[in-house]
Amino acid sequence: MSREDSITVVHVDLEKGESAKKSYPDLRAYVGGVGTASKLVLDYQNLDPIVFSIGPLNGFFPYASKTCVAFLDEGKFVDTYGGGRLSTRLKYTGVDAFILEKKAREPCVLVLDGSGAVLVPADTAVESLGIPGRRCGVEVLDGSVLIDGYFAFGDQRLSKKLGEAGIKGIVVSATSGFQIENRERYDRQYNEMLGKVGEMLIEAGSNPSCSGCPMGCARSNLGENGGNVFIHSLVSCVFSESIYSSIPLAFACLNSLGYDYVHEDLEALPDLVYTNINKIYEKASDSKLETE
Amino acid sequence: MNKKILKVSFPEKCIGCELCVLAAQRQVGKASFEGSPIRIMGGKKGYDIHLDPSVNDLDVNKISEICPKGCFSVEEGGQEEGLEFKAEEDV
Repeated sequence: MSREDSITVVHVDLEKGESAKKSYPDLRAYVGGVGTASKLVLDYQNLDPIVFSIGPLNGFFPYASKTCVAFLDEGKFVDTYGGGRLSTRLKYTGVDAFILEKKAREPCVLVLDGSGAVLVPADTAVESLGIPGRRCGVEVLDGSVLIDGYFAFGDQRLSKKLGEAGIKGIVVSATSGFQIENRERYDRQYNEMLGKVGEMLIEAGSNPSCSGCPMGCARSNLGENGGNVFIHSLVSCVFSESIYSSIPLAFACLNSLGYDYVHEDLEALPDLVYTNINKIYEKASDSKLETE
Repeated sequence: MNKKILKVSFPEKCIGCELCVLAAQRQVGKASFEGSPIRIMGGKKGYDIHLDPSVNDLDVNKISEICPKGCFSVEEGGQEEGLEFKAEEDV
């Protein structure tokens, strides 16, 4: 992996029931999570997109356990985050992001794996789909969206948005993965990060935990919204902010995986995201004027 | 030759964090679930830890130790599959 590597995105045309996997070399500058999602929302704004996006550390390091979802609600950019197993499943499916575009003609469940995405009828039980032990199920309920029946996203508007798009559920099965290139270096870095468990901003508990996180904390099921652009581009948990906000540590993690980001890349990230969001609002405003 | 055997001693303590799954895969240089000797099944109503016997080819102490809830134990004394032959001069 390197900074020049592409971001892999699955586009799902809900109206046609078709999907296509595309590579975007230019998106690596946005790192992942909200960085990538804000750019994809901007680029596909005319398709009313709902973007699910993970980051470079998901599936590789402890506490990097969230998935970002970004969309527009009545013209406002929303970024919300959920935990559980979704981010590791996406990572080990070889997908950095997927975009739901337009609206389905009939309510449906999206089934995603390494070979692409298909839509199945909404009355198919989410728990019956996917590969046991490698799957993750997302259910769209009235007023909430739950990952594996427990982990919610922070913003309830996601439920309304997915419902309007005709999505009743999403199932992701991890069907691929990665060979670790520099095992010794990666193992050392992984153990260093795991050893920072005492710096987490929440107490450990015995609740269902997000994949890759040893905490089992009492708030893993609540989800998150907005906030720190950097950690939400990696995409790590808000309770690990004191760990992943350390640029040298984040660099060490990224470098152990072969990414060659430099300081300027990471420092530029918040501005890139805010620029994207401002452009989204400008575009929405222009389109409104044209309509009038 | 004695072999160390990984046992799930306290499955009810599992919180589904999958650190054990990832630790097992790291030992063979992989970040994936493909071919993993450990799978965590279930969800909010509780988790089941499924072990494939091939997990015992790995350093099971490392897998046991990484579990934050102490779900595993390691037993000594398992027998390697196959026969053990002594060198001729020892007979």
